[in-house]
Amino acid sequence: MDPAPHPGLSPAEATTGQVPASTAQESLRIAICTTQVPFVYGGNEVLVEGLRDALQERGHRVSIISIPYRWHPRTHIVTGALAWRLIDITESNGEPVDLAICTKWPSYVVKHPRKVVWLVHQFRQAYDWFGTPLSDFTSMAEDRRVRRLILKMDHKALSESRKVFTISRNVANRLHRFNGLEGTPLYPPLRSGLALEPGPYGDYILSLNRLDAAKRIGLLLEALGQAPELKAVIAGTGPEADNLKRQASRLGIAGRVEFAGFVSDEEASRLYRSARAVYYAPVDEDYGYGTIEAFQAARPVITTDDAGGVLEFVEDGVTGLVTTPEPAAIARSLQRLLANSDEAERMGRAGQEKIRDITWDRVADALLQATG
Amino acid sequence: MRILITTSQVPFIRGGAELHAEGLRDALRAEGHQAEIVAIPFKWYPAERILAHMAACRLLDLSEIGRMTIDMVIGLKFPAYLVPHPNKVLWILHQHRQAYELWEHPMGDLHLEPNGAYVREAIQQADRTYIGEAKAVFANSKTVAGRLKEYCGLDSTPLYHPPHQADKFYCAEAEDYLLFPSRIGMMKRQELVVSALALTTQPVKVSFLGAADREEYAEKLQAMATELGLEGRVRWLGAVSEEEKFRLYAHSLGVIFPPVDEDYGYITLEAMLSSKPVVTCTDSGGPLEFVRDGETGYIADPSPEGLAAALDRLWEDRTRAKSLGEAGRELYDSLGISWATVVKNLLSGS
Repeated sequence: MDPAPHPGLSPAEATTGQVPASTAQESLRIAICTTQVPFVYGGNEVLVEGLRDALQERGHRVSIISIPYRWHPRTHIVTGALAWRLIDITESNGEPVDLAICTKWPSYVVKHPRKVVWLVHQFRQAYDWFGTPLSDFTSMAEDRRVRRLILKMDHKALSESRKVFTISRNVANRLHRFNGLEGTPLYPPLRSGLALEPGPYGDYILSLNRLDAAKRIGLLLEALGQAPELKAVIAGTGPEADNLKRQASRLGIAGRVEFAGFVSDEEASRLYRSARAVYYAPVDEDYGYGTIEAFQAARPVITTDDAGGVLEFVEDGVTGLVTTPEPAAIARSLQRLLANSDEAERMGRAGQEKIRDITWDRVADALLQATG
Repeated sequence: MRILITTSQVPFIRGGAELHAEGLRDALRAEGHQAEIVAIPFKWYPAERILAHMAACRLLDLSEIGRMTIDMVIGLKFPAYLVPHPNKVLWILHQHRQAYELWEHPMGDLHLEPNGAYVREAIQQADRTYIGEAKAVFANSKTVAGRLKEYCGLDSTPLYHPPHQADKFYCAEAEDYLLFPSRIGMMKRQELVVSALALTTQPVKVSFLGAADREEYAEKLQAMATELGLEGRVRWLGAVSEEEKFRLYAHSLGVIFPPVDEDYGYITLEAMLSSKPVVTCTDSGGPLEFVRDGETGYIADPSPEGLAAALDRLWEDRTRAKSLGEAGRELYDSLGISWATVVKNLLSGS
């Protein structure tokens, strides 16, 4: 980079430059702001890259701005957010940045005259996790002060946004409950690597999740223990892997449960395409790609009434089965769909229909139209 | 080790600095480390904005993300190299040049801003204070190391790295053109070359390879060439594919690279890899670390007359040009420039 590529440019002149309206024909310069989690590739990365590709396909220029965030110990929570506030992305190299699309906390703290937030989630320790074992915030004065600051920053930063979209109604509801702000659900589509054309309805239940406690795979194992005719494939890796395998042996179901470990997109697609049904019962999930993957493959989803975003799609008896998070109830759901493949197919097809509108085209339209 | 490379980015712009960071990342991964780039946006106008960006970098803490410890940070560009970390090694590409060698220079403009002097002082202070936090300081070249010493009194070790796709450069039969590969801009001085061409006694032909920073400037240069009657002797190739670039190097008679005080300059190294002589200027910075006058190329006065004389010399003796180029390749091979060496040095510094 030359230190002065535009020696003649008056900065004031450039800031007030005309910003083109976002009609389909015009090529905009769009910054996608997000929080970088080094060495991890997960749902947020899928979302950001999918959005980038969708915008580029429409002829826009996209730059991803991704900065790591340290939230432990407490003092970093505020300073990390403040760093975003100090970074100036209104222009780059003398040319205006036409639009900033911000996703995760604290990336949306950034200042931009045309900012649209597509909220993945807020800092949950200060919100819905507060007072639960998932949050380490206490009622001590310092913790209360930091929580107040987070609420204040959220309120200010999100109010500046032309419009706030959320990745689910669940996230919008939390925003309303805690911050009194409105959010419009805008569901993110799946990554492109999956090929989920529906196949036959086989004889196994699929769980494809990260193996951590919040995904409650243990509950599925308990249910299998009560339903001797059932088989399951549990794909994914995570901190609970060893515990779950031990649990399966203890329950005497190891012969009916296959732990598939890490699976490629291709293997995942194959597993979805011929499962009888999909078990997906995380604790208060923000959104839940698992539901969308299952429905794309026209598989019914077995879930629980506390699964958060999953319940925006799974309707009991219509697109899957919803029960209390208890082994006996889950076992009954599993048995019901195993006994009747026609019903599994009917529900799966209804699920497929339900997510038909979740496309990148719709996402791009919504985000671009929000800035007028 | 888990290593983060911190660098500054100018959103929507991709250039040598991005390739450099990616090259380092890939080299660290090749040695079995986990490595990722953290690219923090940088906007340097109005001048006070520089202070805000410096503050942002100081507020970031990369020692632990989530519950994951980051073992090391390698800082490359201002102000991203200011990010604090207990195990930080710097490999400085360049400082904020407008606060140093480009202060009151025609190519700089910080000195023209109302708060320029104040901001310059803050930049220098931050560099002197925070560069010193690093466990070890490397510089991209002797030129960069020299500036660190001269302006900040800081010692650093020059550490060279190979250009992108170094193994793809080759040499072929020379055709009738000199190649000037660079983005078209004032710092690269295509204008000086056009002026020199009007003064050569030989029918020297030059192919300019590279996109323009600003289209108006490129048009001005083209008009100037026409006015000077250089039609048929200059070619404006714009940006070309990588394959085509290697081919253009391979078939050139020699390479022209006369920038203003370049930090390092991949062009010199790419010419040497292609066994081509390099014509540069006495004030070109980085290229002077590699070009040996009369041995691997020519070093000219940065004047149209001086440069014209060097171009004539190269053009009139093709056999000599060939042997200068071969000597350049031998020199490159003797320098031991490799990513493995870079990684070894950076990690031994931590």
